[in-house]
Amino acid sequence: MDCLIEMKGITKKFGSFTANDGIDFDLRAGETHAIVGENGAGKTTLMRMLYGQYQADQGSIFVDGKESRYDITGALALGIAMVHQNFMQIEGMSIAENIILGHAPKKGMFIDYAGAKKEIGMLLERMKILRSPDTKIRDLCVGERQKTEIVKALYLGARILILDEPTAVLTPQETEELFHIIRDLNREGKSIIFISHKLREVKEISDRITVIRHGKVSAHFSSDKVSETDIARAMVGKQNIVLLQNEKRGAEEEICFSGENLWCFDSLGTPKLRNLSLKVRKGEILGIGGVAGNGQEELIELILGLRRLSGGSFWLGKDDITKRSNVERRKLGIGYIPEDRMTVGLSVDSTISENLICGDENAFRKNIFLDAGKIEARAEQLIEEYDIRGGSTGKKAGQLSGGNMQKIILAREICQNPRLLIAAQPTRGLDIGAINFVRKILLEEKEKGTSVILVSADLEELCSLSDRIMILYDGRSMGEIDSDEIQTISDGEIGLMMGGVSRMGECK
Amino acid sequence: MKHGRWLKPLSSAAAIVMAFLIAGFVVLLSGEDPGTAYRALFRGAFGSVTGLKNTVRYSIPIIMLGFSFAICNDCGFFNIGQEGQMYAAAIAAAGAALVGAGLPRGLQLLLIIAAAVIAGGILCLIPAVLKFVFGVNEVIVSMLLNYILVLLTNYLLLNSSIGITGRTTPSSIEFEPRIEAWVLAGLSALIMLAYALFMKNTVPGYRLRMTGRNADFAKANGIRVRKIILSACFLGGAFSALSAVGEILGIYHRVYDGFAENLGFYGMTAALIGSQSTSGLIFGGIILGALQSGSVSLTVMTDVSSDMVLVVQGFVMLFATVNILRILGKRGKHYGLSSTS
Repeated sequence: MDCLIEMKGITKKFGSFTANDGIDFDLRAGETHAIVGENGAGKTTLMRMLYGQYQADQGSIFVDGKESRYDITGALALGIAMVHQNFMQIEGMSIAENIILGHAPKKGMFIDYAGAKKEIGMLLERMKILRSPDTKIRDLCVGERQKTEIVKALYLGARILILDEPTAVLTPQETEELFHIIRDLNREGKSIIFISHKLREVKEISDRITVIRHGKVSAHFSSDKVSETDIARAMVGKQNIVLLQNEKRGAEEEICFSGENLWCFDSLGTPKLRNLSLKVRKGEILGIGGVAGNGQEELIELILGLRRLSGGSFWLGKDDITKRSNVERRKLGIGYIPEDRMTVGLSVDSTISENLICGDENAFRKNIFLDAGKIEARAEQLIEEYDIRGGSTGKKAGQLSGGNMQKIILAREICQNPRLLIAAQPTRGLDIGAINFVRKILLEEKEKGTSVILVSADLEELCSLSDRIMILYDGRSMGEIDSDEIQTISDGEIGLMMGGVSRMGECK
Repeated sequence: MKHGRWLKPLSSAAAIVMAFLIAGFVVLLSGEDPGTAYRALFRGAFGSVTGLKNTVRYSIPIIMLGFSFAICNDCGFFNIGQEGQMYAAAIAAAGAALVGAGLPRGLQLLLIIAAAVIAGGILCLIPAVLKFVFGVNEVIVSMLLNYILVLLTNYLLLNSSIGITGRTTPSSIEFEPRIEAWVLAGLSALIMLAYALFMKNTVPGYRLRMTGRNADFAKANGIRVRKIILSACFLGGAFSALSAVGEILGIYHRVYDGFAENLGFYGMTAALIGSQSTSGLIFGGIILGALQSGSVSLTVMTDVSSDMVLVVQGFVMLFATVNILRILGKRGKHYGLSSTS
């Protein structure tokens, strides 16, 4: 088979840090080639060079057998497109506008909107996005936004698609859909580079696998001849890869938090939550599952008081907190690990210390001034305790890797001793080491008697950690799975609930 | 990333140098020697005690206006209504002077300053509330308010008891309490220090910084974002008012029609040069103040028009808005991008 892309001896340094060290990589026409590795292993850097965003310090890239040097525009001209992990989209603009941004088709002097929309509409349909091209990006859920990025790449005529952690936010069904799309694209002769941590998926979808560790290729496999364990070993370089499980399911009797008959309508009057009730006991992890966009986001924002409740009430312990502001609720002991680390969880332009004290800043006041020494001490203690690597207290949070960013958030929230902890997709995009760290923290919190609401699109995670699972569909609960059923229930049954079939077997 | 901390100051310095180079070229085109012109400018601004005093005198209002712009800009509010805020402060000050006549001097001063600060702050709150509560564009509202206040000042100076008749420029009654120039300079230095300390080392300053950098983050972590933003805008108006108060009590002792013309833009330029650093902003204010103070000797000692100073200011502003190093050097390119892996 012909090689579309050959990268030979690629080396890239940032200052004294070597992100890529003599990496070889090749891609054939019509194949899916997976790149796996822990966060910070150098996958994204390698792909950014392929995509023309960075130039390699050493080594060369051959496209169709010819040595090529190019920038992002050049990469697009060669048919190479990247679907980023953190979507680069303008929220206030429509799907179509985002897609043609910078590449607008012309009709005489004007932009050919009609033509573009028609073509984009067809692509959206093919990706099973049931939205008009005029829909604003901000109205899409995360899964849809990601597919929109793929549509953009296809619209621009890409024959090589780089997908950076594409399944991180998708449900099993959505992932299946994506895999169908990938296989179709392969059949058309398009090549996919698939970057992921999820070994099962990597093995399922890819033809070949390249494992990167500490900036070097540590192994190269054919997907049909390798086991997940072998990939994992090459990835972490050690054998201990068992993900932590909730060993002591069950909770205390005392109810810590409850929401009763919750209703929520968006600005257009569409119900986002329909008469939903939930309660969490002390020392219980309540898993909330469901396809993205079925009310999870709204539920979290309502609990935090960031969104207006249309009907119903919230109780924290014996207190009615329905009318409390989000500031008061946080003070009363609601901790929050947001889904979006980069924009809600952290201020990436602020230092690690500044991020660590946010929400608790009053505790560091001496007279009218902030006590720099005390802040420094707390930050150093948390960096030590949570093993936040690569960070001195004065470093910008945005310079850390994803796993270490998440550790900052965990450290900040846990050290304020929450009664209720809301964790939204807490392991999204993290490597195995960091995932286990997050799991350990959540289980420790359970042990301490904290109530945890875990919202996750990762079924394996929900089943491993939760004491009880509630599945949301269209703003309703499709039923709960109790602790004694969690280990026995089939993925298929949960899948049905996620698809809108309630546990009573009745379709809503 | 070690070099990152020098990038902003370098970029600002580059902006200033480029502005001087291009303005020098303009001087050359007009048939004069840029070397002579710049020497005259420099000597005028720093070459004598009077020159230095003038430089300080012109720098102070610009720096205050710079703070006014910067504190609002940090919260995503483009404060272009500084002239209007200065006029509002001036009217309030004149009113307070009228009302407070006869009171002890200290009380009079306090009354005047308080009235001015409140008026300036409220004027800045109008577009801020319209923006953050109702989503109205602040630039349009602020610009329109500027015109309204300019004309209102003119009207009141001619038609109310704060104005006096018989002068070629409409002006107000003379202010009885005054602030000595050196006291004004000292107070201004104190305010600058307090501002820097406030932003860096206090809880409200911390909240303001966090809100400015990432409002979603601040909100999720229990900071009252709207309250912070509106307070910042009030402070922004208050700084404009302080700038006006300094001019009125320290320099003119009256309110003149058009006394604040164009000053708002200097403040914005100083803030842009400083690019989010207080010391950079003060430095930028001094450069702009020096240009004003030196322009006098420019006309005395050379044939170059003092408008050349405007040309330099224009180019400084233009270049301060772009990250020059990013364009010039490829090395700068990566600093703007955060590398995740």
